[in-house]
Amino acid sequence: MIALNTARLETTDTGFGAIADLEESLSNLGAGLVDIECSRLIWLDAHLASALRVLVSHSQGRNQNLRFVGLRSEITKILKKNGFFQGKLTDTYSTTMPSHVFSLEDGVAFAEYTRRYLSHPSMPVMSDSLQRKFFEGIDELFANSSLHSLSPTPICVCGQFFPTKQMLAITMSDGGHGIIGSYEKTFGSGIMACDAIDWAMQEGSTTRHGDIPGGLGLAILREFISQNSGRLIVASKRGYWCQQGRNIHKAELKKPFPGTSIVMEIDCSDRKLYDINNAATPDNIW
Amino acid sequence: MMKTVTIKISQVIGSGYGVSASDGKLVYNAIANEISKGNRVLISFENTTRLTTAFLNAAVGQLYGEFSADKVRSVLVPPEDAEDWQLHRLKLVIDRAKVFFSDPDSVSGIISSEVGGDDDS
Repeated sequence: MIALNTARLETTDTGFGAIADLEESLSNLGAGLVDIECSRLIWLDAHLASALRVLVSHSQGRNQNLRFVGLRSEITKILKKNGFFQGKLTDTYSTTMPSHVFSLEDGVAFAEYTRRYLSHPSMPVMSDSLQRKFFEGIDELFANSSLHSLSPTPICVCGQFFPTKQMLAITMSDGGHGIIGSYEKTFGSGIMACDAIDWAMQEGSTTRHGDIPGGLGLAILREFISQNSGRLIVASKRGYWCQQGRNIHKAELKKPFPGTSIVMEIDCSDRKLYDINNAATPDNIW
Repeated sequence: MMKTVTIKISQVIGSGYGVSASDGKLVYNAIANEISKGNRVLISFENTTRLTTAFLNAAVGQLYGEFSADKVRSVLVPPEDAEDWQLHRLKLVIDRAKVFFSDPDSVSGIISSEVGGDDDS
């Protein structure tokens, strides 16, 4: 038996660090049934189920069968509602975007998935402008992952609307070799994982050659996050990076997170009108 | 004789989701095909509800790597049915592609100034 040593599994460096610690413990165990003792846990950000799914996927690769024991009933319920646990519960309030796995080529299916779940009446009533920016942001994130992931690992997605906080959150996770892995493959070693994330989040950064560099979409997204006072969070191997509003927080995790998770959290009560002052003219656009 | 052919993005990719680079490549192929036939091209955004810069890079940005900017300007007529934000994204991608293909090392400089004033309240 191993233990999940945190009371709150949130999208913080502590939360991702706890998942990284679990991965480290599991990687030192052999095949077979492994109990993960979770009685300390009193809060779980539901959209972190996508990161947990990557953990489970890695364990399955080691022929381990995980059992989460000692979970509070409300947390079990959350993880059943979003499909992380088998025996899916009906999501009475329809505030969940259930855990779903997409291949890197599934950008269209991902777009349809987000449209479908956000169109439910229980989901936040966002302004048209905000909803468009949200869709644009997550589409850019998915496209960026598809283009710049050097491994063919699928992307696991999970989302949650928190009505009290008026916060909509979505997490995309893959079990690949992380941003630092892509960086080192192209440029060699000598950078900390959190700095590799910071580099990847800048305009024009790319590990591809010959194409127009990526990063333009991320620049648009980061500006949106600033305006919305939302959060954009990346955990990748030992790196943790968070933009909240315009502030950046970076940290190194003690153990490597099993891949990359990108979290987007937005304030749904935002009534700003986006993109109203910068229309281009069709007549001279080329 | 040169004619103008309308290429409707949503028809070429089979949905309103212009999000993936691979679908952008389909649009690029359709445009390049008409150019090679000596036609002008009108790109229609009708029913295109979602759009990424990755898609636009592949669909139109790469044209500037294949053809000169003057050539592109002479064969692409003003796009139609695009919302303001879609035109803005298109302009960002075009400006960046022009700079990249003329001087690949100088791309990052143009973006911050254009994106920095992206949103307004």
